Amino acid sequence: MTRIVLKNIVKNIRGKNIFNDLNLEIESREVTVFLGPVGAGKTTLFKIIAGTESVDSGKIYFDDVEVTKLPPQKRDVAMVFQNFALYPHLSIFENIASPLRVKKYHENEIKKRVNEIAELLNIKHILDKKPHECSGGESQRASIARALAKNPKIYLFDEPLTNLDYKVREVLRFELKKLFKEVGATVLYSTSNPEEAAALGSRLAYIRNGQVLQTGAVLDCFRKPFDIDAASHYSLFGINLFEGYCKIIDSRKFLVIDDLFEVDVSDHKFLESGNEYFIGIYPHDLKLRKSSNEDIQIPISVDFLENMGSELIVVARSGNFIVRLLVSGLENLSELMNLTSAYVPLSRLLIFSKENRKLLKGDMPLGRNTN
Amino acid sequence: MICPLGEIRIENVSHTYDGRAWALLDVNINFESRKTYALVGPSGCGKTTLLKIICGLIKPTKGKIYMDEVDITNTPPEKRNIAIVFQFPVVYKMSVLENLMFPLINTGLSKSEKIRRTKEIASQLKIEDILNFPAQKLSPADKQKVAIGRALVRDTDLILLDEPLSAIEPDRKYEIKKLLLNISKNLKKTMIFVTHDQTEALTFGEKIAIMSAGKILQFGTFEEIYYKPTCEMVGFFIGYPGMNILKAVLEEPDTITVGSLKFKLPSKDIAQKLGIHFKIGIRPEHIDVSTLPKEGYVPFKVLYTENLGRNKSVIHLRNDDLNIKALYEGEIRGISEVWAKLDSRFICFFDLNGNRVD
Repeated sequence: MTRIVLKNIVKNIRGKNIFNDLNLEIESREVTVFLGPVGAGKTTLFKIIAGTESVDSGKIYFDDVEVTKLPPQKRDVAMVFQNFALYPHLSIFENIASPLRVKKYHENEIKKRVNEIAELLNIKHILDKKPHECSGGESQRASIARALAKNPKIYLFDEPLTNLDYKVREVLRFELKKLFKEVGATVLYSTSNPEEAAALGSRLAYIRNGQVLQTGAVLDCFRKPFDIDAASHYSLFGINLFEGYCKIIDSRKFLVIDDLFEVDVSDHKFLESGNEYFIGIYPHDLKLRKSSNEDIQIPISVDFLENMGSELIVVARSGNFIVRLLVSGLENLSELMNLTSAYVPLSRLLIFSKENRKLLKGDMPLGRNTN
Repeated sequence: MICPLGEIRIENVSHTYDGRAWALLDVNINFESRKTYALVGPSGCGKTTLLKIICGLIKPTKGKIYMDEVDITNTPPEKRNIAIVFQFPVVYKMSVLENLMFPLINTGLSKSEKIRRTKEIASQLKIEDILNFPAQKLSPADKQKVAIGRALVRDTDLILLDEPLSAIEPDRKYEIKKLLLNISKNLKKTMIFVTHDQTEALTFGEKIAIMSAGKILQFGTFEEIYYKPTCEMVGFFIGYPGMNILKAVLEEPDTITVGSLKFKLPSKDIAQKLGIHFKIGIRPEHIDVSTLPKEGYVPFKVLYTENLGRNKSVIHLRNDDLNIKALYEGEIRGISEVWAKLDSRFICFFDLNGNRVD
């Protein structure tokens, strides 16, 4: 129920600058996902909000109340860590009970609460165990249970699924989704996995090198990535990148990508003839079949297929460029090996500046239907 | 008679590290000559133990290992003539060329023959231009190429690969994957690829062994594993999201009832094996979902939507007390009811213990 505001945050750790004048507002009662690569500053940011890491300068507010100097135990924040961070000498029961003991709850009340929460997270059978006797998935459930027992205003989930086997991640991600709907608190969640971000978050904050470079609804950000690196972090399978240049052919303006394909961009003033551009296409935006006359055809020759079971990645070449297509696992494998073309709707082309790699005119996609 | 080369047979192998828990329990598996296999499963499933037993680093508590029909259970690793490529590439503190030639030192080949063979491998791996470079200064991907090269230089018919892609820098995985696929296709050596990653297993393995808790749950081709899982655990483990496992009842002799859905039984033979109460499995991608009412489709309430951020979502649906998840092409926003149809061609049958019936 708490709005978080960070103003002019500066933070150095052992002489290395992590944040230099970071400003951020996080809305109350929303799930905000901090998506970014390893080393972006996600964990440090969460520790600063939790109060376990101080700032060199700048101010932190919870609902207009300054908490910059407030110790962690007075901030009413619970954090769930990537490496679970359970007390190794305590049973799972006592781990979950620990915030209740701090708050001096009665023994009967503690028993009742711990059992309720353990029931919710399906870990009643491990309450008597020690953390080292539990699997990764069980340990993280216990760690989430401890956060719930605290019942705080703000939850911080720092890459909680990263260290788990992928099937455990699949199950626990869905349980977190249900949980977030119920808790009615402000939830901050960090990850480097775009699928987790899309599945769990309503809002996204894209963080890289200690800077929040893009915020907004998750899918809107994915559709209009800040720059090429952001686009590659917004897709589990990276982004297909071509280089092209803009030129006039028969008084129409075209974006020409080697002798592979060309796009009529006469209506787009932001592209100048004589200039070079990067053209990005997400692997999931490339199709096997043409669906409209506006689709652009890209010649490919297939190198190999990566089989994910329910889906496949076709790894191919187009000229000197490597191209990946994400296709349904229901397709015929031997037909896929013989593909010679892929198709992309004009509106799904992302055009980036050659100079600073930023998305150009992200608010105005190509294609007549969307203009 | 042509001798099978690089064939490995594991017979009734069990292993325990501490004398209490079984890391492997009664494993029987046959790796035929000149094929590529994958061993896959979650951490602690026993796949690494099995690999160590094959290469001789561990002697199994029980059972036997045969290579080309010769019992090698008690043969020390250095005498097994098996090449191994590890997760973290091992290179020696010498040049790339010397690294590649290292396995040939005691072979008695002439120097010119050693160099010829090494250069041939180097050209296959496209590392001819770094032969004089100190191997330890290479990037992980190039180090792994050298390690793979060393395995190929040896006159061995069996190569074990232990998570060979896990430590490679992401932008060069493509290259190493392509290289390994080419080796698997063209060199015709027996290769056993151990991984925790189902995509790598399904991509490289002509046959895949799915392991859990020290046992092999299924050993088969991708098609067998994907369409005909031997148990509900395999159905859940392979594919994303995992298979829906639903309680089913045979209410009439030829009609299966699942919640309020009804299906015709595919054959009469199966009815006797199933009994009255059993389970069915259906993959989320084999459930067709429509946002409008449609003939033969059943209404479901949309409970939750997990968007995957790539024109796909996992939608969690409910009809009475029947909960299913479906993979939907596109994004569902602000819709509370959809119509769904389970594609009966892809339904699997399991008994109440979760084992396949057909």
